[in-house]
Amino acid sequence: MKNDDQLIHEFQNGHRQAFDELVRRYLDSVYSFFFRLTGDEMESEDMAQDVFLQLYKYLPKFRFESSFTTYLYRINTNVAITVFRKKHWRKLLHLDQVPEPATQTDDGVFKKQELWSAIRRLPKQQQRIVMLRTSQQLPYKDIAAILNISESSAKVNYHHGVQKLKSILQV
Amino acid sequence: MEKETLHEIPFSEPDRFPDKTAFINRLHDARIEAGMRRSRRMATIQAFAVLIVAGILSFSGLSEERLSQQTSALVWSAYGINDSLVTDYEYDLALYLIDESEDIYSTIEFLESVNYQPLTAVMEENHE
Repeated sequence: MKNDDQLIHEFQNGHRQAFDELVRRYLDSVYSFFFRLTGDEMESEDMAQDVFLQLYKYLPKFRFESSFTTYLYRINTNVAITVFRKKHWRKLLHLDQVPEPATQTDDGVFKKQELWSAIRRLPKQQQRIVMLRTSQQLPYKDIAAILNISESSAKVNYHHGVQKLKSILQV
Repeated sequence: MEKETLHEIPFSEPDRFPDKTAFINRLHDARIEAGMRRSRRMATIQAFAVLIVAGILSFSGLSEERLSQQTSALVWSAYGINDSLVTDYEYDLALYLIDESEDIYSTIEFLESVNYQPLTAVMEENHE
């Protein structure tokens, strides 16, 4: 079985099948990442598609300076932030007038929505760290590698992020 | 404590995952569609750029034409040529053409067909 780097090399040499293999390998993980954040199947699939579209565009320039999974997580968090920002603007501009589906009345989903609208209000770096820490339960060491920051900076940012979330959610 | 707070929010796992083959097909369709959209956007931008350049060129061309007309008027006035002199010249030319032609009527007919204004003056003068 070929490893990720071999598949990326093959894709960089023009073999699309290698890219498809990477999608098969990581689709479940990417989809789960977004499902934990949104709780919405359709939205998670759309966000996963955005991630792989970006990957198709930028993977030919991948320089193997970090691991593929690190690179993938970075794209995941960027896509999540972009989507949340768009949603925020849609909400501000009153473009989201569609009634909520029945399942959204579920208390857990309501809490999740509340949490994510609070996370949207955090600074970008804190958003990324809280996302990776809460939905993926990644260790600080991995978060630091993904975001190219020090481990202590990841810890401090997470701490500040959570404090701010607490005050927003008043818990 | 932080963890406990955040653990109150249930991070549910998906019940099912998307079908991988169907997802890959949709992904490539979306990629191709995005590429086409990009090319259409580029073509529109290029067409718009061509229109702007053509517009600027024709505008400057028109300005130059106006300038050349103004220049001609200046040259004419510099040589003492004015509108009345030109009218006289045209009138004389009509007379000359009629007088010198072998068939006067066919010349008149020709000048009438091209709506040569000095001809009217010549005809009126002859009637008088």
